[in-house]
Amino acid sequence: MSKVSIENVLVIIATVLQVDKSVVEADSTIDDIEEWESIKSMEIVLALEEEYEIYFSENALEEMIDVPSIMKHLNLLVDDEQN
Amino acid sequence: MNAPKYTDIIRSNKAARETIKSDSFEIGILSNLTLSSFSEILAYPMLKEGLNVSIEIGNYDNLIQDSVRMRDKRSVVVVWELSNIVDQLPSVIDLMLPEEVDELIAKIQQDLELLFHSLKDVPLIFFMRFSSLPFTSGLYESNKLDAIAYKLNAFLDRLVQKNVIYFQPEKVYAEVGMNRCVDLRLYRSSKALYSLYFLKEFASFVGQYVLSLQGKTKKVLVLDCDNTLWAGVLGEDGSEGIEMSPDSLKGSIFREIQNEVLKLWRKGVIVCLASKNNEEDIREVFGTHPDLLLRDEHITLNYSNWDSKPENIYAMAKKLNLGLDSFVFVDDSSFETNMVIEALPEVRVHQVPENLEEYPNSFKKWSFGFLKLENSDSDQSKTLQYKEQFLREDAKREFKDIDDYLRSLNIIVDVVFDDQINLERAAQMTQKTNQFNLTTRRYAYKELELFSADPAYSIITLSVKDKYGESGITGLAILVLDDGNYYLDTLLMSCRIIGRNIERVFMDQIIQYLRRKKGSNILLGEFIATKKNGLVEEYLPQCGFILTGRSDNKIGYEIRLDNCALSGIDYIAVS
Repeated sequence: MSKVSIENVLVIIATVLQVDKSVVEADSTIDDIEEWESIKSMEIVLALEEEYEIYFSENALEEMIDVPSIMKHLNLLVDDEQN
Repeated sequence: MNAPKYTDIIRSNKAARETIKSDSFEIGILSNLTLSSFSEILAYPMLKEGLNVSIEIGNYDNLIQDSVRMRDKRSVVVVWELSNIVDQLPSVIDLMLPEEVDELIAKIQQDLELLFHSLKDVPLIFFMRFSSLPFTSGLYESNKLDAIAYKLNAFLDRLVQKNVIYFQPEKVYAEVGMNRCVDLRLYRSSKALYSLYFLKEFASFVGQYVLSLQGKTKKVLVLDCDNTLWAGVLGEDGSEGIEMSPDSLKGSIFREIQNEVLKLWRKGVIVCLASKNNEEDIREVFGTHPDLLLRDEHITLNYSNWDSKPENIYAMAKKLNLGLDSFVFVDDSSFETNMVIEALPEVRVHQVPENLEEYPNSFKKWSFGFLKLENSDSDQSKTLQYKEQFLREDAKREFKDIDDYLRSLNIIVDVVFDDQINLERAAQMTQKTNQFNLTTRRYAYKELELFSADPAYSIITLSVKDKYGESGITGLAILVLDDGNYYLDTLLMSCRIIGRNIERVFMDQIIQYLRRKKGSNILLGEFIATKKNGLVEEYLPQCGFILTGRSDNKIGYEIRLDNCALSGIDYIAVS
């Protein structure tokens, strides 16, 4: 599995939200993007799980409502897998 | 079928929607689960085959009410999750008395009749059969949830409506295991039970029927011969050396494949051969080999030669005057399959599995691509004439209209004013509610605290219960007396309770409350449009408000409190 690239993650988020790539930035949160409804957070999580073949805990899910938290949890899991 | 990743599905759908210009096939989804990702997943198998679709997901847990609204759809998909019919049913059920369980079953049966009655003219309904397994799969003793699922499914079988296609989720559970099908994290956080994998399987099932209804089904099966129809290589092993006898280990597998091909031929599928062999050798096997079930008469075109397979398939399409998208090609060699995928992307290509014992089941799955609905070839542009088959013996139980249904729910709303308000929940609702929200003003707890201390403000909340459960606090209104008029600063309701006319009763309550307060005779209201609140655009005029002005995304209204009419709804009690 390749290292987690933020560009890749931003593209996945933008795809799920069906917005232009430029809309999602490294510090975007659920409050910044109108299309990012709470239910979309769930879809983002599922899309990331498919992409990186990982599984987030329920606790992680609750926090993953902004790009920095998403990156944090993603890196935790992907690092775990590599160790 | 291995559907691509969710993000690839979204991208592929977007690209397809930009190129397909035909009218779209309208599909509605009714569910008591959150199925937001399902609309793209469901569209995928149809868009991929060039069929334009538009998908509308009904309001959460509004199956009966929305079934009326969706009666004009070309197809409706119903996902009525047993465990969520009553909140926390899997655990609550063991606390219910036997007569309460019976009452619940009777109520659901009544709802089912109403739902199918509303949808009786929809050409294709997809209904997911009830299953208790997501919540009982490790519990080996019989339990009440199993019994309810069993009874409801038996009831479905008695309903016999010809336009209903049942999807059996338990087959998916059995094939790949429950953990790949349901996701309890999502169920707990958002009432979204099913995994992407499961939804993709369901979508490909639905998609195949819809494609078939629209005449976009596969028509031609092109088969390789060596190691596809028999074990061995004719050119090397000779006619006696190839195996397809039911008495030999490998041969029995290929015998089963031949049975499947024969079944397809009987259904009208055109069977052709594309094999790298001398044509006369193949002809001899098909004419005389004692173990071969297929005969010359079953084969429409025999292109056994040394040309490339894409060339042969292309030539077949020309000869048969059919599009390449009606072709399915089966071969054991990845060289050949990849070559066809590359050269003729419209052709659906399957490769014989490496583990030969899986071949018959795989082949049966591929056969689903040739699905043919009865009567579907008569006129593809018209809907199937599966109509008026719905004959119910017990006419008494038929509801006259939706009001009767709503009446049967025994809805009670509880309206709370001012000082007893749960401000924390109220603030949360302003932040989260997007659809049924007139003004979409977001408030923090601290702001609401200030409002509630200010005598000019009134805060009103609403909670709802009915015969089968409570929704908790799910409606909020904030009113302010400003400049001699009341102003409706905020009015919102959770989607969970939409579709039962509760919003009308809520407005009645607000009006009566203001009449008692006597601060002003005028109530001003406003609709501020966002991308998500189209649902509520007509709400104020429906309640009797008069238009006063428009600007940009805002529409202003007012109503006179002393002489305005109330809704007259008598089947919702207020406590």
